[in-house]
Amino acid sequence: MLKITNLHAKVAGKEILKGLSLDLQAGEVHAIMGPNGAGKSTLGNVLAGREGYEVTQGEVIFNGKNLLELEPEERACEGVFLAFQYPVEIPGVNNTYFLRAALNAQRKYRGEDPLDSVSFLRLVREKLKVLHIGDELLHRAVNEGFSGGEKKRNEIFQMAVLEPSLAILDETDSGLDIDALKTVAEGVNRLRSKDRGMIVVTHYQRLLDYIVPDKVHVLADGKLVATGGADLALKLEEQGYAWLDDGGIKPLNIELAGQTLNP
Amino acid sequence: MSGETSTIDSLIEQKYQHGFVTDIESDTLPPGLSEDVIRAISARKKEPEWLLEWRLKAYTHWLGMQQPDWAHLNIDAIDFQAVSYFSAPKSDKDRPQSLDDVDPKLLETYDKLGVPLHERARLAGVAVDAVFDSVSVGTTFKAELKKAGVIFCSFSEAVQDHPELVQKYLGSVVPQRDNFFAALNSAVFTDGSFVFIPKGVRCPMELSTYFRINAAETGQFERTLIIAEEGSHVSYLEGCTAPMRDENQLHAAVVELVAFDDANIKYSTVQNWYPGDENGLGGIYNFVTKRGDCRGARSRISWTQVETGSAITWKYPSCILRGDESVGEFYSVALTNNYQQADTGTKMIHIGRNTRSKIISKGISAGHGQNAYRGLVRMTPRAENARNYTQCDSMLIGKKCGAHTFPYIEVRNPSAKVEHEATTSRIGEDQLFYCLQRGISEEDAVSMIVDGFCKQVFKELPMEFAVEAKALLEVSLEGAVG
Amino acid sequence: MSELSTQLATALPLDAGPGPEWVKTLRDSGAAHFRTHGLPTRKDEAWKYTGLGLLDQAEMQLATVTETRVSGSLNPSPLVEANVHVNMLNGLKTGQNGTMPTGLTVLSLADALSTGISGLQTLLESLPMDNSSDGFTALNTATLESGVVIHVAAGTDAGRLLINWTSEATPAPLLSNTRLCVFLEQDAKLELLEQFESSNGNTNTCNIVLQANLATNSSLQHIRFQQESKQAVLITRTEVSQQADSEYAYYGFDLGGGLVRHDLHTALRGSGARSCLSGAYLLDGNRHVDNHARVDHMAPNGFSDQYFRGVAGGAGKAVFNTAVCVHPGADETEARQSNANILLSTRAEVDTKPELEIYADEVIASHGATVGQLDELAVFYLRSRGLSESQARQLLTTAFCRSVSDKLADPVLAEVISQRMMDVMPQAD
Repeated sequence: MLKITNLHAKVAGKEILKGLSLDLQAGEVHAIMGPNGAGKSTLGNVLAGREGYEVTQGEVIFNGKNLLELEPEERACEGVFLAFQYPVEIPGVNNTYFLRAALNAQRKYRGEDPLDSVSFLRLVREKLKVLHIGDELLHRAVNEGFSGGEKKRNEIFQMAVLEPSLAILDETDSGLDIDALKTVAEGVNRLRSKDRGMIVVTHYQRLLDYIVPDKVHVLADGKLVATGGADLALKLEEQGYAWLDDGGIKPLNIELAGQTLNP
Repeated sequence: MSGETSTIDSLIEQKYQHGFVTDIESDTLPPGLSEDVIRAISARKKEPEWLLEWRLKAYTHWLGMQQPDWAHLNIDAIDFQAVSYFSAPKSDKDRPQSLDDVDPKLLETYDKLGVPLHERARLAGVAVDAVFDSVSVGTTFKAELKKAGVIFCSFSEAVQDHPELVQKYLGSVVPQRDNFFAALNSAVFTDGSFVFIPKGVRCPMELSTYFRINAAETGQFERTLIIAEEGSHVSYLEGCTAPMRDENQLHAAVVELVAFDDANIKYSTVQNWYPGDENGLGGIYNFVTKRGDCRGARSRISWTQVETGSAITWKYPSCILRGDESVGEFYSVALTNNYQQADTGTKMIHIGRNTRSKIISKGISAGHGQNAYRGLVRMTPRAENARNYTQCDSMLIGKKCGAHTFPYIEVRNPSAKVEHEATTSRIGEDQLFYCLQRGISEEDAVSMIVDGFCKQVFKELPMEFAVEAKALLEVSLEGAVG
Repeated sequence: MSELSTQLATALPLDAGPGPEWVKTLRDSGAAHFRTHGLPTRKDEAWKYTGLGLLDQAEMQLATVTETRVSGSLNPSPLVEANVHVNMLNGLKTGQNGTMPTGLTVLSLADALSTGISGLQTLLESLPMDNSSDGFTALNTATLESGVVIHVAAGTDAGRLLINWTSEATPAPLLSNTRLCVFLEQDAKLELLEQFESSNGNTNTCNIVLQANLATNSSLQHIRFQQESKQAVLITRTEVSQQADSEYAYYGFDLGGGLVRHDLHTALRGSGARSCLSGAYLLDGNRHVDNHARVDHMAPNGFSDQYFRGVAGGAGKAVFNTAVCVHPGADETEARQSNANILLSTRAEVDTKPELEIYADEVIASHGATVGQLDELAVFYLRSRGLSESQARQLLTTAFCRSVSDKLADPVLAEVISQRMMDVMPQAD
């Protein structure tokens, strides 16, 4: 469903992604791990179309469409969802109002009728129940005054309501204690389905204890340098990222069972 | 004042007929201001004719102007005809003959400031031997500066030696008719400093007028002009650290800075003119116009001031950010104690694209002091993506003082961003108690807390100035607590 | 003096009009002040950013004391229901309906002047008229006659009172002067809702002075909603005097008007008084809205909060001046000010000046002012959830102003006003 080929991107004039390629099939969950500054967050922002992230080379095909040609909202309507690393606080905009506006914008794009407030509220309550989230966050302004954990849960909740076909979770585990992490992971697992692809971007392996990926990629210096199964994450946990820095990105001779190395 | 314009005009027309009527041999011109006085000043300084004409033009403008009254200041009417506009250095016999003749209060202050003994004598105006008099920044390092191509001299010398530069830039930042006090200065300025940094030169040392103005004792109407050509850097320090004993002396200076592409001017002032006594008697009336023109792209002008002296301070060092991506900065500590009044701040006029400005102002009021911050941030329609950040904090010590904030914000470009924050607070009793409980005296505790309050500005000052500024605050705050 | 000032000064009646002697003296003092100073000009610091161009009409007529202006009535539908509705047309009271709760008295000013309400003379005479910037007040006093007096007896909660201000075009543009006097006795409560609307093409000028006296522990909620025509001129001054522990809350919404100037001033004279002033102003076209808010803390333990939000698009000009003055002895005062503006267009302008004047040391005072744009990250966040860019901007701009309407105690009114704001929300170029 998502094919990224040789993606290069600049932020503030500096090249961050330097030829990233990735192939994600519907139903798969891919984890992208890597050291700080490797470009992990840049990937999510580029896919979502954030201003200031300039693609200089490469291609992203999403469900047959050239994703990079679309406006951020068109990408969202096509089913791309970015769970932000730092969800934005929007004082004065009610969370429920916001979500309904978003859902109806997406429904309109797909040629569906807008949901009236009664059926919307029914939908929202159902999702909250499934995710074991209380409804107090419905009455508050978007992310305003939320704790770190609440913000991340709100992101997962939005994802549950918007039902994207591609979800990118950008360091959703950062800043969470273990209980919050479990809640978030549980939410993500409930949303795994055969029609939905997910990219889980994380620095630490511990999230992957709870969200078991189909594939793990290692992102370093703007490229995917290694790809493997779930066990690659464990290896990284043990050995750290230092071996990647050893004189830049050399062909890797490290023996990692059941994995292929990207060129 | 404005009634007799036609008479004045006719006087100007006749300027060459009368010649110089005042005896140019005398040390001090009699009080009063007239065209003749201006001619006398100009003649005494052997100025070229164009400069005399320039002065006279300023005088004409001044006659038609009124003293501004918009500042938050209570000023007794100034009789401009009672002021003497030219006073040569006093002869040795008029000065105190030894430190024994100097006001002990003044010496005590020097002691606290850590001024070395021989300099105390100099600062107090004691006639000292020639060795010390010749130790001026200007002469000692002149050779080294010359090697770098830097011109640093008194304004009078510059008029003689570099008339083309003076003529080109004088009044190009602060026009003669800019304001009442600038017009007055333009008519009667006596001396000041001139700095020229040629293209690409990084001035090898910090330039200072620390001693020179004091030694000359004619600092009432000085004029400073600094020109930084493309890619040059200069840091200029101006110290008026000697408390002067003169009563209600009028001081109206003009400072003009010009920065071309990629040039960088840092201008630091520590002002401690005589503030008047505990009852508000005497003290300097300090009306200063300081303005920098960031004429070139990526140029930068930074003003730092520590204002602890003067009975009245009226001063707004400003930046005109004309060049794209130019930067203006203003860091200020202003302290008013006893009956001092200060109305000071800055103007940042954003004209070029991507221009940036930053204003950090710290006002401290004690005793009956009145301290006002007055600032203007203007984003003109051309100032795409311009940014300003202003932080303006006031601290009150005691119940009889005042702290005021008057920021003007004018924005005409939708991509520009202005942020202004201000707070007013006092030294918390809990803070004080905490210090006292640890054995620190109340006075030390206050100066510690005030020092912390001012840190953001002090760190912009060159090292030795920062130390001095800190000591100065302590001295100025004396008697404010308890 | 400008031509218009001279013209208005000439139009002032020589006869001091009806009523008791002190009223005549008061009118004379207003007329004398106006004849000396005329209308304010941009040379007056308080009018630095606001010119009277829109008002400068050669045929302008001054509505005088005795004259009746127009007949008939036109009452726009009220934003919300109220206990009592008072209808005003071109500055004159035309009617009143609703059930008057016990303890609430509403009189026309003319009636109040002739019957004599206690405290009225003191209140009217207390209005400061100091310098050349007070020309409109002088004019208002010189023609003092039309207006409304509202009195709430001690301990009464009078509920909501609506003043429905309407302006309708007249053959020649009219400058009308109206005075409102509000008395809240001890422990009294009132919600005063002023709604200003005018017919299209109305070019009249309304010059209204509201004086309110808040006795100990009384509470006035003052909501002012104006959606005047694009040519209308609305000059208003609100003077509030607060005794101990009283509370004054102001919510202003400027959605219309060609030239709008509001001087809002409250003086906290008794200890423990509280004052919360908030407002939103929305500018488009060539409209000009100037709000001057000032709080004087004159007694200890006072609290004030000023919260204003502005959005300027088109060639609109928003002027905002907020001042807090903490007088000697007003210890333990807490004063906050916040003003934020969004500038949407290259032709629009925002001039803001948040002032502090502090003469007491046991004070916590702060202010913040910003002029800028919407947070682009927030715009992106909304777009990444599927909202179009214009939808995202509209939502964020409305939320920005909604932070003012959300302060209203009545959620229904908050919703109605927020909807009205959304309908006229200026767009980016």
